[in-house]
Amino acid sequence: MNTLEIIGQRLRQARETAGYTPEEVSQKLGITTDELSLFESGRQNPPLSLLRKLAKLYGVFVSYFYGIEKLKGEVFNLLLDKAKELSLLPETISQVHRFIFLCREIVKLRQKLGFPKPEIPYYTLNQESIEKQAKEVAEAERARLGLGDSIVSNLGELLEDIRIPVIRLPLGRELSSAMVYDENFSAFILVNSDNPYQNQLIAYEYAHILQRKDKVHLNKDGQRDDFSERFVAHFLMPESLVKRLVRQHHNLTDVWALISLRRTFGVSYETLISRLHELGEIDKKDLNRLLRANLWNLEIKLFGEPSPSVPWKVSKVLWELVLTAVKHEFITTSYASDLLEISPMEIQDILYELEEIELSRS
Amino acid sequence: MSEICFIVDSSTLSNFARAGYLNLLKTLFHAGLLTTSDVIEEIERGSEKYPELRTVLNELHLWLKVVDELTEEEQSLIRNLRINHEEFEEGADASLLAVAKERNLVLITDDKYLKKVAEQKGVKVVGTVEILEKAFNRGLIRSVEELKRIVIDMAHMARFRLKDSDLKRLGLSLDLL
Repeated sequence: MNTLEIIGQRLRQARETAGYTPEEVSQKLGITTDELSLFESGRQNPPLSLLRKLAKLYGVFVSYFYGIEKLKGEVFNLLLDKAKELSLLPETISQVHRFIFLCREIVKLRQKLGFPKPEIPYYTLNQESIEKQAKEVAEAERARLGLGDSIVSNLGELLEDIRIPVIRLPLGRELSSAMVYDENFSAFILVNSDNPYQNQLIAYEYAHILQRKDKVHLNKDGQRDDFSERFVAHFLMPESLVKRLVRQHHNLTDVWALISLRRTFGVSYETLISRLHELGEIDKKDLNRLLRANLWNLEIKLFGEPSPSVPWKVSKVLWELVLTAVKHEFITTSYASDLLEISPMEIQDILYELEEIELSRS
Repeated sequence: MSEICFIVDSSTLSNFARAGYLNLLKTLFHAGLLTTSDVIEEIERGSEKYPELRTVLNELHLWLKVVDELTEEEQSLIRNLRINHEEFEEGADASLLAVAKERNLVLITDDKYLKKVAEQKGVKVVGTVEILEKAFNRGLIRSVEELKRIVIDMAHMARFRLKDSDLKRLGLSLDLL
């Protein structure tokens, strides 16, 4: 098979994996279906700029079109298969695909640089009540992470400090989060960057990782897992912490108190209000009334939409690996720029600043 | 009109543009420079944060010509480079080097690894230090003071620091930066 045929075959594979029809690609990128067909059959050489656009659309890296196999991993293929089973939109599947490419890149860089993978405890669930076990696991994890009964304002950062990559990508309305766990590679979390309840989603996926029920998990709206939901409540809103914070407010049914608490815990109003009810802070009558109220709408009107997160930049694990790899010349600045989706100039600036700090130290 | 003999990467274009010396490049390479659409994509990405890079984009298809359509041989070379050099798996380097090699062009880059592989492949390479040296020798940089100013501006504005060996080559004091 010659290079153009390899490129063509990969172009078709990537398009079919994402679930795009030739017509959709043609419409999105402004090329004719005939041209696309010529490229996919290896009869015509696609321009460089088109390969970049196609890579972005399909959620792959350009190297994929040249027949490069990133590190193999059955678990990553399993995640992609599950995403396809859920009949997600091609745009969402592309982002899942992108997540997988990044996970593989992280594994590859870790191996190259000799960085260890995270060690994560495993909690076996038994026949006892889910509530009791979720509470125990949440307490054990809080203790392990040295949290006491303090507020967890940014769980993503906390998990990244123990080297679990938390990658934020725009997943649209269908998918909130996902996780992958493999004994060889450890865990990776994907979170919808458009979703305002980041803490809650990350805790939900972390619960899946801790129980190791499945190797992969995709959190599609409407699907629920009891243990994980209860873990979120106990981990992010332990009773002692909630009681302590509640005491600061005169009246919990006052919207200001609820908005403040929601922003503190980084969870949804439904999760917050339900937790306050089960801890006896809100009675049944107020529970139903408050659950029906559109508090989120009010919060946006008061404080605006949460500022859009910048994908890639927020994963400290990825940052550290990529910058170290550039510094040691394992990858070039241009390569790093593709991984992080920022410009090579920004990377040059950061490396310069790091060097300045090192120079001032010596 | 004379033929273009040089192909440039984003690092060198960016270093000169951000420090405010793109005109120096234009004067020195008056026949124009070639680059790839991959490089332009990087410059476009950078121009969102560094508006000075728009001066490069303003030169597109004028002084700065862009290669987007590749030959089959160039595509095969890109594939080989991506497979055999993990460092080139992603990014603009593989396409840049393939075009330089196939079209017998001198590659302008400050990327150390790209420079090393290019030279192994028989591609001639020059970087910022050679460009400054050439500009100085041709009188485009009129004095040592002006040369010092450019080197300092590159460090402060483009965050590009010349190595000690480069400073020595230019006859500048090592404690300049």
